[in-house]
Amino acid sequence: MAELTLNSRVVVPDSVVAREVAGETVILDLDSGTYFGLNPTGTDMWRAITAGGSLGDALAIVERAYEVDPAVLRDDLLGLTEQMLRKRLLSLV
Amino acid sequence: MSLILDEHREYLSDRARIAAYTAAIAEVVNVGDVVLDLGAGTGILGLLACRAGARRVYAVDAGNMIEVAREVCCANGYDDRVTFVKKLSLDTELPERVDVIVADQIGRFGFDAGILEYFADARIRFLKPGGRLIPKRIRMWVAPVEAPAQRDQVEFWLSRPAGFDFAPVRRYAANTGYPCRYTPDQLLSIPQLGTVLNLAVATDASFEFAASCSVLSDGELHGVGGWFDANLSDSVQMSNSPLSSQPINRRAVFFPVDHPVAVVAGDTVDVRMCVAPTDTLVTWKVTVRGKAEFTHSTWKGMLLSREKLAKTQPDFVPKLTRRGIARGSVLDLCDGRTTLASIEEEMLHRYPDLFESRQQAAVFVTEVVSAYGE
Repeated sequence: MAELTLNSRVVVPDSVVAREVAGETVILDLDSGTYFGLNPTGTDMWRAITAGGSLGDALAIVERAYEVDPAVLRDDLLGLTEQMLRKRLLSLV
Repeated sequence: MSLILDEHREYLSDRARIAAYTAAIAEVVNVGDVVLDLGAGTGILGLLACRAGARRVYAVDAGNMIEVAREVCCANGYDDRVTFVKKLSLDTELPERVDVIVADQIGRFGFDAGILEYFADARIRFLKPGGRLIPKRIRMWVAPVEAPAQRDQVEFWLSRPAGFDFAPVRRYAANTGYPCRYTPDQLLSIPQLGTVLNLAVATDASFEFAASCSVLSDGELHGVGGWFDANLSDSVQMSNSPLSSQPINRRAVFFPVDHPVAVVAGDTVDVRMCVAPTDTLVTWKVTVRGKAEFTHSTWKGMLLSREKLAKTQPDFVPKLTRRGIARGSVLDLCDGRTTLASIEEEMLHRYPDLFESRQQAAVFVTEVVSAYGE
């Protein structure tokens, strides 16, 4: 997998669809028939990551919402994105 | 009258459908064949197979219609040839392999009544090498449509019924496929082939397809229409297409887009669909080039509660309710020695908090035993 940076952009594959239920996100991969759940924080990150901008743009969105050490947020966001890429719930542009 | 019975009355009164299956079965079933009728319902397809000369028909259906099918079979003098199996075909074992598998589990869009799952299983476990399938192939068609009545079904939720705000429901409504009967003038383009399901090899795995539709006349795009045609045999086709000269009496499907888009002749509408047959999930991505893009999914229209979702979390620690414990007791008592009457009596004795009468205990026990006992 190519190295993930804040300049990277990701998209949601056609076979993946996400929805929110009571502040949490449930992502369905139609190809594998598997479900993946995100808690409210993960949901905010997912929204930012899939908003269409770079991961740097996503980080800026999340930073505005959370008063947390930016370095920690950055690691969390990149970690979540990498996990999603491994599970093929996201694709690198 | 049972609504299920009335549903079957509609199937049987659909002359185009009956004519198609009659002709196809006569063409495909040879004298002396063994035939499997999947999801037999009233047993009509099995009866047609008997008439075509089948030596043996296995009519498999998990529903209580099977008792009606037995009576109909007797009334027509074929009870010596038809073996009824009241089970899901996925749970069924047959004593022999069959020459032909026949079913009408096609649904409205060609995949949505379980045919891929049931055929894939039955083909592998029951069909002789070189055996035949009815239908043998299904094609799924799509076209952009102008369907104001169906669009109104989605927009209804913004109409403040009884003065209350039901707007949150619209999101679900816009991610739902609706049964719909189209007239040809509602199609904004020539229908395009989405995909071909070759049932000789098809599985129940997810699949996707794309189609580009060239708009023929000015109009307003409200969504995508979907329907099927099925090759029941080499020479018999059955379809619910609005353009079919002899369509069966089965509605097509309307997949809405979030808001209407004015289109003119020459516009291109790209349709991309992902389908998960076992969960009957469809995602549709509709692009009106240069004008609009939509992504919808029945996954987003599915009714999910937070309570149900909580039970799917990996860290959820489930424990049995009182009724769950009682259900476990019934299963334990199904030991191959205890009679139903004794089980009911024992349950009434053990769970006085759940059952006030023997009758209540009997209903509970019957539900469990009918699902898991034999």
